[in-house]
Amino acid sequence: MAGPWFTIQRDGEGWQTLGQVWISDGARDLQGKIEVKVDLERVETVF
Amino acid sequence: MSRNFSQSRGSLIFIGVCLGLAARYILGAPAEDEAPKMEIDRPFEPVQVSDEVETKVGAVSAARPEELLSGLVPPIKLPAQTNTLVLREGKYQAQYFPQEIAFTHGEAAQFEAHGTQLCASGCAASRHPTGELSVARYWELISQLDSGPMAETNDALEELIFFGSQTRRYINVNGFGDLNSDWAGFLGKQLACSHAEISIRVTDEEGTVRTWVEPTLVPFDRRHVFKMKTNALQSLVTSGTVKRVGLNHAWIRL
Repeated sequence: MAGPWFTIQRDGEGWQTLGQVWISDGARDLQGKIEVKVDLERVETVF
Repeated sequence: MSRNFSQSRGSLIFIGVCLGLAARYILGAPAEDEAPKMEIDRPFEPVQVSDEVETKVGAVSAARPEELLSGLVPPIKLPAQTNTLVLREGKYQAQYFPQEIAFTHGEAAQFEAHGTQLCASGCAASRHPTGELSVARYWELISQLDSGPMAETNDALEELIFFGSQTRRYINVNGFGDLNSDWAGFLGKQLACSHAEISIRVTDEEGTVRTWVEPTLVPFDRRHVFKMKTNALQSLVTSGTVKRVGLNHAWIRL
């Protein structure tokens, strides 16, 4: 996908919308919503 | 008639043998073990293995003598990655974090640097690495750390986490200074987080998900290309970077 899209996200916030794009299967063109989700990896440590 | 045929056949064999002997006498007979000469064009010189290399391999090989005699190449054991964390008098004073082994990523992601420098800021610029954390600034932030809460409102904590791998390196070299064990443990635990799980999806206006990336683990600060799954859409990839910028926040650039 062509961008760029940029966002700042809180850990575990869930889906966040970045923007809209046109998507097509060659027969129909539809608007598409781009979403992203990020979860920080909490690792077991010796601390 | 059959007698004439036998005589002519015998004559032919005799003449053939005579011609063969004559040719051998004139041209000379080849030696028994002489093979046709072939010249091999070698583009590279054969590798010369020095004694030093053999010594090094031998030093780390745990193979028994009978295994070496069998002609099998024994496995080479790499040095174990040990955690050299040592807590002394409430301070962690030895190497704290293992080296940057944290570049593993999920199957859907592939590391791909953008230009000759890594874009570690999560923005769209190709050559925009995170700035440098100086030693002086590191100690300044460490000294300010325990004057605030263990929360995202603590600016020193946010900045130390923003510099992630640089902070880890300073801790490995210099330790935590005068931080008490509670703070050292808290900061160490936060900095041990080196990855995030990223998910991407594009949903059309009818509510159908047309392309997506299932939760995929990526290290911070490194641009990855994601192979996206599709539904009634041509195959496509998306690239992006995740940068951790604080206790609870990350920048994402796609």
